[in-house]
Amino acid sequence: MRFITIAWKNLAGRPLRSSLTVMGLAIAVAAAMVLIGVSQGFERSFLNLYNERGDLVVQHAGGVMQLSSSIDEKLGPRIQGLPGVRQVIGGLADLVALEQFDLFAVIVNGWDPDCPVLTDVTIVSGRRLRQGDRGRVMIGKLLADNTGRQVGDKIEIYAQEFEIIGIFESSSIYDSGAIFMLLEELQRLMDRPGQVTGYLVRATGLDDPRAVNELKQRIELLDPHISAVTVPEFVHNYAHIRVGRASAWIISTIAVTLSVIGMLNTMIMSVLERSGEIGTLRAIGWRKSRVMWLVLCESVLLSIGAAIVGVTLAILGVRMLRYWPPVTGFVEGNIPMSVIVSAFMAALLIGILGALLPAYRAAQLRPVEAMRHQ
Amino acid sequence: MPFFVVPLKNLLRRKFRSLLTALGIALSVATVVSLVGFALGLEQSSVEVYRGHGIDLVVLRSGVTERLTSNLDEKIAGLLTELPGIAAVNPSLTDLVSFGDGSLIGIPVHGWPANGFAVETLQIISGRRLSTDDRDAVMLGNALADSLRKRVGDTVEIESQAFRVVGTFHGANLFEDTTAVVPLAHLQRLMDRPAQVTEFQLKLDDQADDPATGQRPTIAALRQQITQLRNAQGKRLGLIALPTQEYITASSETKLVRAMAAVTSLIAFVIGSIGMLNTMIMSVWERTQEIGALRAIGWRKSRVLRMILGESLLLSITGGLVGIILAWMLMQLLSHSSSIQGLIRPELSLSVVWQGLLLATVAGVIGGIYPAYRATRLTPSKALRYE
Amino acid sequence: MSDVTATSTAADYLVRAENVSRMYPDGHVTALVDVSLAVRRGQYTAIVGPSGGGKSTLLNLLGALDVPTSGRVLFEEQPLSATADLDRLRARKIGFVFQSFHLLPTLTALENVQIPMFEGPRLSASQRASKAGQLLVAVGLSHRATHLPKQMSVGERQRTAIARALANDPMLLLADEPTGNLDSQVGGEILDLFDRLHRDRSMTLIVITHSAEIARRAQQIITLRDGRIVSNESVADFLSDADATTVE
Repeated sequence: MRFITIAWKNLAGRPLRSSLTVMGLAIAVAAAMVLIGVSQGFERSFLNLYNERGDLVVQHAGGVMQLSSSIDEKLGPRIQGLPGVRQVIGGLADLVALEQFDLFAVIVNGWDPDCPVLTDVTIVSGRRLRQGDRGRVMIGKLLADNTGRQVGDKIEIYAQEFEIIGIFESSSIYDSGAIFMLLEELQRLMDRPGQVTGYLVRATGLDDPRAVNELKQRIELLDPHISAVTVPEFVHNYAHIRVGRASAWIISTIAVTLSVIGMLNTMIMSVLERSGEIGTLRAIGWRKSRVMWLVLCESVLLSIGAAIVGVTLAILGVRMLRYWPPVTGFVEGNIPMSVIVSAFMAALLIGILGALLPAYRAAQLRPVEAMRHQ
Repeated sequence: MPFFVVPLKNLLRRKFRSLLTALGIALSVATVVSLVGFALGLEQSSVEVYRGHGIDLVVLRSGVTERLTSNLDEKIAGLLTELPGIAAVNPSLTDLVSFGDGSLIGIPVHGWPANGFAVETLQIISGRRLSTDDRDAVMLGNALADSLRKRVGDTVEIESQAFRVVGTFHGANLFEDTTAVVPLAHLQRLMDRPAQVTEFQLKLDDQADDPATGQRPTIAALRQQITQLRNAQGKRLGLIALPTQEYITASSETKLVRAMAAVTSLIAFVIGSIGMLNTMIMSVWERTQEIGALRAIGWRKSRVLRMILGESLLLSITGGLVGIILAWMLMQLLSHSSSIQGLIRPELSLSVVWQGLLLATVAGVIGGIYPAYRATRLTPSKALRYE
Repeated sequence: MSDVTATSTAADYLVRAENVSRMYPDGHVTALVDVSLAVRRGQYTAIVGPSGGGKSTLLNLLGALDVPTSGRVLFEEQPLSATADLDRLRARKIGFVFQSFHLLPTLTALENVQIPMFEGPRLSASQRASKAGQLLVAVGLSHRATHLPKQMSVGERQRTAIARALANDPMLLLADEPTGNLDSQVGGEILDLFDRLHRDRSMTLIVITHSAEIARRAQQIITLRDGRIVSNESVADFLSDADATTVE
């Protein structure tokens, strides 16, 4: 028999309590993983999307809300004219609510008719937007599925009706859940004539970090009110991503704190209930440290169990979130490996933290406890 | 001896365990109560800011998710002013800027016309209000002025442009105390959003009658009229008018905070219930013989059930009450700490307290019902043999 | 009180108490007052006396579970107060048998026997298991190796506990009312086991008991009353006194 067998059998001998403790912790772990996983997934898909389209993001300087940024559309050609620029994509973006479908955040993009984003997506049905398409939109496949709309149907955006002329597919979950219209049309709708939210700039030969920096400076020299940042920087500081990340961490911290207390509670009760047993171990010569190890091992075993159950729950949970309309279009159905690894580490830490006090209490039990007749 | 003394004494017999379990519930309830209280407090604080300026209705673009991306032509103000029953219209452009302190969502900067009612209703602490001929002028909320260490006459940089501080003001609460106000036209130029605003803030005139009908217009009618406003080409402007409370409730920030409070509460509740269940199962198991003896001397199953459920409810409700007290203490503490004063309100609304107690009670029932059922399944003969 | 130093040399003593007193501030547990005794290697000692006479307190002191308020306890002529690691002493040199067995309910007999080995000489997991198996054979329980305590009779549980006490080949076996929870026939079997250990392995035994049956098998009988030794005699003397001294 190995030492760990004793810890294991102590838990296995009380299956109901052990599984309840595991469940309590697993739920906290799963909740934290889903939230952090979703927030990181959100960031990663965003990064992938932007990486596909450019290297630098040009926005109005100073503002914290990227969506409210505003740049004159005349700046686009000037950026295009700079040396080292291969492609410039300018567009206007907004988030709208389609309340009749319970969708509270749908991306609306306005693109020029010849914009690569418009020309690159795959049309599933209907046709692509063309010059002069007023009152018409293309919608992503995911949005079409969630709203049940087809080509030829109407959709109401900003209290105005639009005809769906095409449904498209895209590798990016954001595009799939989005509405595309002509830039001109969105500018008119939003009362922002001649403006775009920002530009995505694709540079030529970006292997040299200095070249990026130079291009960045050249762009910023065009207008004192604009700033150019690299795509990873832009995505990392994106307001919605930051808020999402912070919320995920706050909730996770609270959940984990509560579960540490839960763990502490279970382990202390279990130690007190077994004071006779532990006293016996001490009487027959077990050192204090070995008794502490026993309690710690039990707690760590419980938390490893909780990590396994929690990771499973989280993976299932995120898969299910994909099919929940309000968040489809933002949630990808997987949890990064790094989050799973961190979950295991966190669970282990919870197990150790929750067991410290109980283990200490156990070690303080005097061997003569065992001599008391029950 | 009343019956409830039995479960009470059972709990007192295992003081430490009862204490720990009640504490577990207390912490869950405290989390829920303080988070929900915090969410409601934030909402109330935002409402206060608008009410402080006497704003009755807020007009923004229909269908936007983020109020800050609502974008309207400022000329619509003219159309709004013509509507009956509207006393004043304040166009407002808001941006979030960073003052380089790395705050999460940035500091709101409002662009307001110097002669609008929003500026006029600000309570000046030092310096003066914006005036119509001010150019690079800014008024700072006093908390913002303190944290930036700026006084009247100093300059602050907003979006890499220097502004002169002409006055500091005291807002309705910390929300408003951490904002800055600059002339509307200036912020429009700075943000490259000429002639654009985020929203219109309306003050109603409750004395005026509608000249057309000779009657006082109702808010509902007025909102309907605003929704139907059209431009010169006869196209609907796509506006929506929301009363202050509704406007705040519908904002994405409020929804986010509410969702966070709800998710956290759910987690806290589940963890609390599991803890409860764990304790009660342990307690029933170890008293198998005792419960068997009670059955043997003639206690009905229902009485055993009531005893165990009574123990669990006593524990959870005690925990709930302690949790509410903890939450209240936490809020007192936080509301008096200077850095977030005003964001957290020291009072707990009755509805939040009820929610906390309800949660504790449900956790008590969930934690007690299965062990109680198991206890009733113990047959006296078997239980007494159990060792 | 009799003279404990009569003919033996100091090296013969395994455990000795010199003027030991143990006071408890709350008065909850019986105190000991000025107790002196000596147990020779291989000697079988019984401690008798009425409940509350201080027997368990004395056993705790002799077993290095507790320390005296005054006086000293010597194990192999080393004062316990000068022994740095009492846990190690208990683990390797003393075996304990309790009235209520105190087996771990979640472990099988074979596993329970292995528990002290974690603190004994280094053994691999399989060595521990085979040694525990041999000990179970020695106490006549090899057929019960994989049973949990609740699946065994009380007598079998006590045998398991004795096997556990022998796990690290101790020099001294301390037993506190080992037959207190057993009926007289099973109790007799346990006593026979003690006799065998005493005879075959020259085990030093100190047994607390109410039972005249055990006392009859011992070589030295110490009677405690109100925390004091009222007699310390050989079994012959004890038996002749039996009419006067009530063994409870």
